[in-house]
Amino acid sequence: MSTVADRTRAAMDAITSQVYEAPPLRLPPPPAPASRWRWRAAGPRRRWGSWLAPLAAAAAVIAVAISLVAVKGTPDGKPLPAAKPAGAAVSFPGYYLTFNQPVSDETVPVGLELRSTLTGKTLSTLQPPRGLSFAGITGAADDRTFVADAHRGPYGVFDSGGRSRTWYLLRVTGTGSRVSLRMTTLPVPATPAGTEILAIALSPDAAMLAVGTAPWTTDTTHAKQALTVYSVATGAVLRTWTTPPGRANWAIMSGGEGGADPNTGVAWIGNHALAFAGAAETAGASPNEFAVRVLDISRPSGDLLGSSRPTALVPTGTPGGGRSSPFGCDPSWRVNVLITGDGTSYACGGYGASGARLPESLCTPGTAWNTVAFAGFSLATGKETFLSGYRTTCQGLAVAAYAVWVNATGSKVIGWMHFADSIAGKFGVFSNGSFRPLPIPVPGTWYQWDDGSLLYQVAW
Amino acid sequence: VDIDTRARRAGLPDASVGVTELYQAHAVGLIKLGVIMLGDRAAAEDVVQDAFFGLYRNWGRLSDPDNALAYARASVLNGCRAALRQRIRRDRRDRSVVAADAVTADSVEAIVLLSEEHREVFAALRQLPDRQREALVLRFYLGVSEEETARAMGISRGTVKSSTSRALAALGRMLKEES
Repeated sequence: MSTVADRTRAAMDAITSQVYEAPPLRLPPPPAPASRWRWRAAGPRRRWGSWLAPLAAAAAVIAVAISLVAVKGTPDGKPLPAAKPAGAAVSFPGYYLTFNQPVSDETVPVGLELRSTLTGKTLSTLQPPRGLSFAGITGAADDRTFVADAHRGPYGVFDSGGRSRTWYLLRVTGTGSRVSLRMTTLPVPATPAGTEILAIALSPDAAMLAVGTAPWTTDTTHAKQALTVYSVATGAVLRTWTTPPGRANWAIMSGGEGGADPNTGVAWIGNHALAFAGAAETAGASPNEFAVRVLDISRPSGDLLGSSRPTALVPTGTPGGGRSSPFGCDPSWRVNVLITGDGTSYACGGYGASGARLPESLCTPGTAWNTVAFAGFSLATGKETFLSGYRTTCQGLAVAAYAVWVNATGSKVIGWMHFADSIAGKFGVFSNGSFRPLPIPVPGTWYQWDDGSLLYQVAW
Repeated sequence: VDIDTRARRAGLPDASVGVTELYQAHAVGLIKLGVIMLGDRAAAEDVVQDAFFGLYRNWGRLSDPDNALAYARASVLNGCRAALRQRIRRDRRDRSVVAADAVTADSVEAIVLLSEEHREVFAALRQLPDRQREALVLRFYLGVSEEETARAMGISRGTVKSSTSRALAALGRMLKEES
């Protein structure tokens, strides 16, 4: 029997079998030499520019002054609670960290921006150390402490895998909108070149840093994954667990969807355990079935799979419709399983048939109803709880939903949801049957967010 | 400074010569890429034409001739994404359309001629997310290297790996269910 890859190639061959030549290339005639008139016209523009410059500068100062007044007058101008996970009124973190340019921009070193979750305004910027470029970010629970990693040029988050990483601690100083980032070098040893970062996760108390790694190679037969816990204060290796050879693709499911170092592939449960979505590796489970595995960090270093225990299987929605299958996490984002800080559940975006009472979003008339939602699943029992979403007539894969933040109990998710009939999509807080829009945290176009580009590019 | 002057300064052949040579060498493969992404040969040819026109306009800005093909591939992918978005917007306006995927698939003359087996696979392929389909076509069909695929798609090599493996896994599930 032919493999899926063979069948796919054969189908692609068949569909393109009639394409054996290309039509003539139509190029415009060579441009005429620049006319003297155009050269003459350039002169006055430069002169206008020269005397307009001071005027523009003065206008900019006035504009900044006006904007400062305006910022002060916004709700976000009020001081945010210090050293608390979130303000009581909004109950999600006040700040998030992100990169200051699209991941594909390799022209300048990537810096960081601290922004307000509510308004999306940039509150502070931070340039990387000279010659370096930031590539990964992860946050603690206090909304004021982050760890970032950086690599040497070539710049850009894109394709930065395999390069050595150095580590930095970032602290938010100040309150409200008057905050800045303070950076100090961490004593955590530099990740050697030739290493792929699978996951980074700062513990809630910011005392430990978990780093998942694998060799930067396509040879997964002999490669091992490693999960290492470092002391943030001393850089000492507290624990290291590794996978047996040949399981490199399965122990920690993670991938650089947004190009940045994955920051949700491994999560902390309190300050005592780690959790990650990986191969179920349980009796009766197929290789394509996944479970959240929990690893108590008091266990000695050793075998990653042997030391961790699998919980209930992660249900996956069926691609391409799935109207008759039960609701499950979107397989496109199955790495996007966000484990809650209290260790009771995980949340994911997904779809499938369900009886959940949710608002309706009509996609096309006359087709069956489907559910697109964020749901929480109990780690102990696998029981699902719908957080928020929609009943829709969109086809299964014409929709997408993925989460970028979950609160400690799993009752709130910040995520992205897109419908085939909606160009704009929805980004914001999904909770208890409701949706609260938030500013898109990363520059880009809707289809870039739609394909997972928000993943790993924000840290709360 | 015109395109050709910029090109000569950068050590490149004249724009029309360089772009035409590249087109002759790679246009068929890129049209095939477009056909698989869009399911429509005419649209695919337009996207490739636009990509090479864009390459022509930016020829003098290329720092390295080796970047030209990567630029063309990325432009074709961007063009396909834009065409698909346009199709979705058009379908929103046209309420007589039942589903975008169904319409585009049925409108392709070549698909009608496909065997049942290939039609099933192609239908499954069209249900993959764009990124997975792009990675699969570039890596498994056109034989583009992992690094070049990553450059064309604007993603990391790790994502190319994960996208292709997820695409194959999803296809496997879909085809198993349908068979």
